[in-house]
Amino acid sequence: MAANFWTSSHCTHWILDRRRVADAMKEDLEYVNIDTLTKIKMWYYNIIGKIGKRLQFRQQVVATAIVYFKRFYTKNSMRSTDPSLVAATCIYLACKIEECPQHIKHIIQEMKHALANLGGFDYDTSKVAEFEFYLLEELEFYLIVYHPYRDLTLIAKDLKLEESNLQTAWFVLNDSYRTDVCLFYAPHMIALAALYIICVVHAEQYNDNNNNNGGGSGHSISSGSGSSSNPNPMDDSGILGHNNSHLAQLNSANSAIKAPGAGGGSQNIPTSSSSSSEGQGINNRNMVQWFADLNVDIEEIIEITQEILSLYSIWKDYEEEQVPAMMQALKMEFDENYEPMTPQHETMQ
Amino acid sequence: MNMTEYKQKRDSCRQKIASKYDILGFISSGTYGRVYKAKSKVKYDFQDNADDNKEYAIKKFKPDKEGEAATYIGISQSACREIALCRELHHENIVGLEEVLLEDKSIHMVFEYAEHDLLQIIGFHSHPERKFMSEYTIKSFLWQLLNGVAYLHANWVMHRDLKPANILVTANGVVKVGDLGLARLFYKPLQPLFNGDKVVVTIWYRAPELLLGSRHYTKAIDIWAIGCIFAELITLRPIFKGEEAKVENKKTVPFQKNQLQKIFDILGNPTKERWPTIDQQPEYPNLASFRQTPNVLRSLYQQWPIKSEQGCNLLAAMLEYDPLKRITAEEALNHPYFQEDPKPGLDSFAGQPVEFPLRRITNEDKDMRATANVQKTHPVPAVKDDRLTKRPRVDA
Repeated sequence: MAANFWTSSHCTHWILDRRRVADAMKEDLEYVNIDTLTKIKMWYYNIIGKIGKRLQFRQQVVATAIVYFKRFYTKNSMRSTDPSLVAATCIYLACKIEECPQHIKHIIQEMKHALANLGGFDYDTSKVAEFEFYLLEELEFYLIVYHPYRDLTLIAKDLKLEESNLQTAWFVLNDSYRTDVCLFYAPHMIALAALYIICVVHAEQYNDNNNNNGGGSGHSISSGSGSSSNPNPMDDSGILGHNNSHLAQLNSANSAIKAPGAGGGSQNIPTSSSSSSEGQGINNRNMVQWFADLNVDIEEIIEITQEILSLYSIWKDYEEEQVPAMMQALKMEFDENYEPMTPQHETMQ
Repeated sequence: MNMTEYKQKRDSCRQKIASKYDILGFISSGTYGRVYKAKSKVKYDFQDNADDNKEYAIKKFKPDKEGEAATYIGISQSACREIALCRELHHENIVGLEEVLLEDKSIHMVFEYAEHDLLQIIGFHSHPERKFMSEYTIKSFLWQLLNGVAYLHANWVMHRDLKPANILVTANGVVKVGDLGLARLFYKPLQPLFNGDKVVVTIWYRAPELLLGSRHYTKAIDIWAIGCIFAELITLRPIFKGEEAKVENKKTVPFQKNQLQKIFDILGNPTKERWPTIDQQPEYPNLASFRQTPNVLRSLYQQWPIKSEQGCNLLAAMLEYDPLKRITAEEALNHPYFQEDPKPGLDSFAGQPVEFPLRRITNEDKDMRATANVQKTHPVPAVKDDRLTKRPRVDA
């Protein structure tokens, strides 16, 4: 329940096996490759995020809607369903569960607006309301979702993390919703991975860069961010929306991290330049030690970290304009004259 | 694109309620919808009494419609909350949700069945020829109620509508807190609680901070309600039986002067000494218009059938004006009153001579027809539905 993740339905029913998620994607992957599918999904996550921003939801509402969307697609293919109806219904339901109910018409209006360039949104109130039943059923009526934001805030407090670092970690969490980590890992592990990214991996990159260009502001990684001077941790953007140089850094960081050896020690985590980071926002060596001392599976944190970082490399060449063509490829089955590339699949006739 | 194919696929594999449950009859209805008694068609072999099919209460929600055109706009906020919370909560003293089913374009929540509720039990006892409840029974009800609410509170859930009708009791005397339709998580509310539901808790059980317009109420409102229920279990009539001021327009909440007067008549007027932040309550200026009355709770309690002084201490601690000073559910469970004999038990009816009537079910409903002819096994209850109005005065 709210006070105890370990007895929640999120923990007992919705931490999933990767195979199940992979199975759900099989049908779609006959039509588009994994990167394309990821980009199509990203596009829908962005739609949910945009609508959340326009209707001024808190980040948690957006996050819950995205988790509903993801959970739905662990049981269905995108090809055989309409993701825009699913997304609209996820937003509608998430608003109710997160205690910020919105009129169904507002959500439909926003969907129409957001989808104006991609086929529009042809559903009326009754269609979305009707679909809510199906969504509830797919979610097995488990509606309370845990998010890593609260864990991050608690850990940051404990660590006396600088505000700028907290905000960057917050952005990493926002980005994590573009990956499937919330289907596989407990929220506190995702929060730790976000911290790991900014404190260990990213700080490492930063320090290396800093050594070359002669010092920075002393505010570690988010100092170069184009975001406002008064960081708002409730901001719904990710790192990507703010500064592309972070993306580049995180991408190269991806190759820098390695899982620790079988002994589980932290010797493989680079610490060489930590001596030069004294006086900076994050004491790199202390953080490495802090992670090593945690009573959690550090390999799992590394897995999450890698998954988030690999998102950044896909995102690097994501272009919104390409999504309509991708969608068309995914939905080709609806062209009656279409001859599939994989004949064995079309034996239905 | 349309999703006809998807829907057909889902519709075809959905289990029919009638294939899993026999509907025994109609229990009650409310704004939310209707409740039916049902029996599982499946026998539970792993249970001790393998030949006994389990009984359930199926709550069928009315679709949430809006306006004259009655367009369906999805499931209600209240149903959403109840499903979300009940799906997570698992406790001996919280009514268990077996499953949720969709049929007939309606949500059906399948709950474990409880034969009685405190309204019915209080009503039964308040019949002029019957006696007060035994202290053992009262104490067991109270302890189990607190135990369930302590679990809710530990999980950041406020019930917000505790009243005798919502406190269910099984045939084995186990309390099951029910009806979480108003309950919600109070951890970091995304909206101030006040913005959502302007009025919560049935008026007789409504805490003074709510009556004074507080926008920052806490789980202490549930404890106040439990205090009221405790007193009602003893005397068989509501301790603060005020008359609700009618809502004149939807934007404003009327000042509940009559209800507050009933409270002051027994507890005395609240003062800054007793409740230091009372002057921050929105309706505080209205308090000047009340006559001054002393706190007579203790002398009143002397006339009640329970003689324990600790019982009175616990009652007073639950009916503390200042929500910050009010006892918590956890503290109440450890109150000396529960260490005294008679100690509370798991079967609140144990050793009691009273045989409560079974919950009345009828076959009048035309919506979900009874599918099994089992009515003969259920005697007609002695208690009618006018229990609330026909209660003997015990303290006059």
